[in-house]
Amino acid sequence: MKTTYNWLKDFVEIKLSPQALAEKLTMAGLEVKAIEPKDGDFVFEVEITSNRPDWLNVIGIAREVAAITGKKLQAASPKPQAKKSLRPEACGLKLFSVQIENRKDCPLYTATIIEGVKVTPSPEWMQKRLRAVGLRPINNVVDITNYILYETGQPLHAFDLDKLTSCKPEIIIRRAKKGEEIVTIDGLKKVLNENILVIADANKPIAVAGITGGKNTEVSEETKNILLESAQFDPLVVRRGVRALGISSDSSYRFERKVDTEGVGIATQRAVELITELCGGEIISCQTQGIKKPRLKKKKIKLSIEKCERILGIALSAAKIKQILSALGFKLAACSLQLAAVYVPSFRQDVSIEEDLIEEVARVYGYDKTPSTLPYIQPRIIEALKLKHLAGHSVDARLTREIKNILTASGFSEVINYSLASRDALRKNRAEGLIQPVEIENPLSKDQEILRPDLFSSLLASTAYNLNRKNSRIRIFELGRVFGAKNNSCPSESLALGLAMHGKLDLDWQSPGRREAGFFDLKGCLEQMFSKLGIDGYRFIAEESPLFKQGVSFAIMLDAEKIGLIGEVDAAILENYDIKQKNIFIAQVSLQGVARRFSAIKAFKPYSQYPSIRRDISLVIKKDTPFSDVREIALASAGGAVSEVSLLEEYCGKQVAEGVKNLLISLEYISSERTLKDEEVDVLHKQILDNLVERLGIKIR
Amino acid sequence: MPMVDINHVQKEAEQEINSVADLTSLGQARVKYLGRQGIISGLFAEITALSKEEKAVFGRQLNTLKQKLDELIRDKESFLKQAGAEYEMFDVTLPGVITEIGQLHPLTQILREICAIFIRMGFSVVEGPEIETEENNFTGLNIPPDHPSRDAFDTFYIKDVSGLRSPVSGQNRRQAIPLRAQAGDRRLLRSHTSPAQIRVMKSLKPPLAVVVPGKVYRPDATDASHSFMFHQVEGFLVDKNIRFSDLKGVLDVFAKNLFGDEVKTRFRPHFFPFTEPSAEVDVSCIICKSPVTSHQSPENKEKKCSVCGGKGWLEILGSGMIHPNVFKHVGYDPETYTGFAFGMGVERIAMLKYGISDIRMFFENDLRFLKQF
Repeated sequence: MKTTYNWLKDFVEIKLSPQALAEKLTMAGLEVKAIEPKDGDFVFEVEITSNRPDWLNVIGIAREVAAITGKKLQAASPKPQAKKSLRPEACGLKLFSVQIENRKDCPLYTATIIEGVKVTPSPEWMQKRLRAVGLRPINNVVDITNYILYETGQPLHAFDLDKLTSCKPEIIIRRAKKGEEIVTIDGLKKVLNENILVIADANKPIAVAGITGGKNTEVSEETKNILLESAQFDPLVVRRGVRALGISSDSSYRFERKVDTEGVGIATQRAVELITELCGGEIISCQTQGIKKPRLKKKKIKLSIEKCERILGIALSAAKIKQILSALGFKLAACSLQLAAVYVPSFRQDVSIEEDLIEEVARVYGYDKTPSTLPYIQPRIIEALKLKHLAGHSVDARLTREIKNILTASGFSEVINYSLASRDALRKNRAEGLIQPVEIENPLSKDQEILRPDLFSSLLASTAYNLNRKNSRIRIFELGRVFGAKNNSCPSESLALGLAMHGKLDLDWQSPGRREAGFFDLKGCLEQMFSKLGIDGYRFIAEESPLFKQGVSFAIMLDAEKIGLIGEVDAAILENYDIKQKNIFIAQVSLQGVARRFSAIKAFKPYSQYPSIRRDISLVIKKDTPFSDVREIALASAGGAVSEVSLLEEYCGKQVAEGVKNLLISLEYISSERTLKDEEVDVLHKQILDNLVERLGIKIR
Repeated sequence: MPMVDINHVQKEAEQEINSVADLTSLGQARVKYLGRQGIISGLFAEITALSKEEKAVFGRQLNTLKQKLDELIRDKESFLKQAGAEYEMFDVTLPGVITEIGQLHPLTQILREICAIFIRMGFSVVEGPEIETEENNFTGLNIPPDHPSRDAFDTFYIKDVSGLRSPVSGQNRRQAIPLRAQAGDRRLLRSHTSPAQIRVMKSLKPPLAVVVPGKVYRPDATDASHSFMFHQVEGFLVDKNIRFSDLKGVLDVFAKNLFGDEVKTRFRPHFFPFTEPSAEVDVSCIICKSPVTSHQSPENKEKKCSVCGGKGWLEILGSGMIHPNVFKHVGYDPETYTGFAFGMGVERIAMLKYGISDIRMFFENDLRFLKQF
């Protein structure tokens, strides 16, 4: 909403500078976004919140200025109509009727006929003000309607009376017929439907109610007689019309927020006054349809002074409260010392409860003058996991915190990608048809068609983005929600952890020739994470996935439940992301899966006070024998004396025969009761070697 | 004769060792006197020519001399090393070997910082779902269907695949927003974190002090300051006798913790459907720290702070006393309980704190960006 400093001065005495006034308005809830000097005046751009349509005009803002500066609002007292109201029959000339098809769509409609106007440019002072608020002057009649819209907030529309179908002069406020058309004053042809309210003459729509006039009845230089409309339309109907037609106007903006019933007549009177003064002409008739004027019932709200204090934390006197509310146009009748009956003026549709009044008091009194206090907060821990309406939608916050800490310590940087993705992401991941994504009904762009079903496309996109920018060492993770369409209807969401890894290991100039990160580096990160989280019982089992290279594609199992995937990204997928590099490893783990086994409670486990003894084994083993077999036998064969089995080296080079490989493993022997003797360990170690040879057919080197 | 030699040798050697200025020369001196082919070895060789008694005396003397010189050289050596006169070049400017660690996303860092401030004041942290119902996102928060106040919360709707598709075409985004007839039960991506407020209040009776961090979604065209996905932290406190002054106090403590003790807060009346009275909260500009006047005269335009636009204030929070209708919706008696709620955009705060000018950088995930925090 734009207004000017001088225009406000028409209605209230202002002693403050424009800057000081702007500051005061801002602190009262009318945020002045900008002040621009223009033609000896200052244009204020004020942000009006959606609850205050009464501020969408100069008088409304002037009322506020009066209240906050302690001045009186000089109401534009429209003089009684210049000519006495004539009954249509009396003039005989333009007999017309106003019919409202549905009172709900249009509670109030007034039509005033003024004959013999002279359409010329409007006076300079008016043009100046219109230009200041961003309007283009057209002619005196149209300018007057716009001027009054800005001044009073009541939109008006002037029709060229002679362009209305004259055989049967009537105004009908009705829903448009499906397929009916209108050319708007901006020359746009619009097809209407039954949701749109129109003003029509006997034959055709002549305006879209509350939104825009029609070209066919526009006031032009030839116009002699006009029909001036001032009305109230249902906000919802106007709002639907705005959406359906894609047209928004100063008028529709105000109708959508509901105009003041009282303002309908005031605006007409003011317009008639200005038209007869500036355009000549004579009022021939004036017709009102709809609400009977005195039917308006004043809203009454009880205001307790005690409650005012209880909510604001400051004790204001009854006199102060009365002074503030009166200045804003409320009428007060004291019921008792502690209670007042407050009558709400018609233009304050937003005020309906006691709290609304308390806000008015606080606002004008000044938020800055209310004290700051710290409340007593009851000691209480609220856990989402235990709440009826939140459980199932979150995991233990300590788990996500731990995971993020562990992974950053492991060298992974956290990324955050959009949860929305294009449908093309499924194609890129060869998941079309395999995944039923949750779809967005009203995406703004292709990138917002679906909710991501997993983190893979996010991770690959981040990887590609960084590789393209020569950030060649990728260690990233994301912890975010993924979405699925359960049972084909109910969309569900869950938390997932994704990791991507690529590129050389840490730079170390003392041992150059760094190797590339491989599958086991990523696996190691997960193992480390599980270990730190106190989770065991997980396994990696082969499972093909369209995302991963054949043979390097695994499911992560926790007990019998599949909680994730890990693998090397397939070359065809990399191509879809324009990634030239190879050796890109990705994993995703369901946090819900992990959460079931996570406990934030940590307990100390005593360790042995006695020294350990290490024995290494170099062995030759068949390539298809899994290492886990070796490990399990080593752990099981020595009656619990082996505390750790470490793989020191795997070698399958030229000197090793076909189908086998060399392993160098290291065993740690320890007892929690005493220092083990070498001879004891010799016996145990021999047992392990024998078992390995016997059960796995290995050779000891 | 040999006696003279010993004294002579000792003097000469002492002189030479004392005058040595670097480790290399000291090494040469050591070889000259103590080396296998050195002077002392030469003198030992002369022993054979002596009588038995002489042998004993001369041998003792030579050993003493050898010890003395050895000691002298060692002392000198440690002196030279200590003095740093010269030693093997150890290039400390070579880079240390670093085990790279990763970092949390800057938004996670800010989120943790924000939540930690409220936790210190006694708040709990909970998270809610991102797919929400219209009831939790709008109606329960006193935002009726088709009300202009919904304009501020343009929303992504989830396509209903159960067969009841919206009849309007998707050409115009606004058309796809459901009309009243369809409204009510549809799923959407939450446009603010406030629905979690409804969920908590529906689950528990007061007293409640809760903050809710999380992602929210609004179909805004993306530019340097708008993103269709961003993060918010919502917070609320409900109990008997919670007052507007408590809201001011808590948010003032918050702002000072986040931006520094010198920061001032300003509460401006505003409108939110779910609070009454409502306030927007500004902090004094943390960049220009300019004297706090809202509208500087236009002459000063050139010197305007690019962050606050010369206004001296930065808007960071929306807040207010929870609307009685919200309490009624969750089954609380508004005459018994009062409370306040607030919400803030996390990206905006991170941008202010870190001096980031483009919101899109948070979601590009360029490692050169991420590694800075």
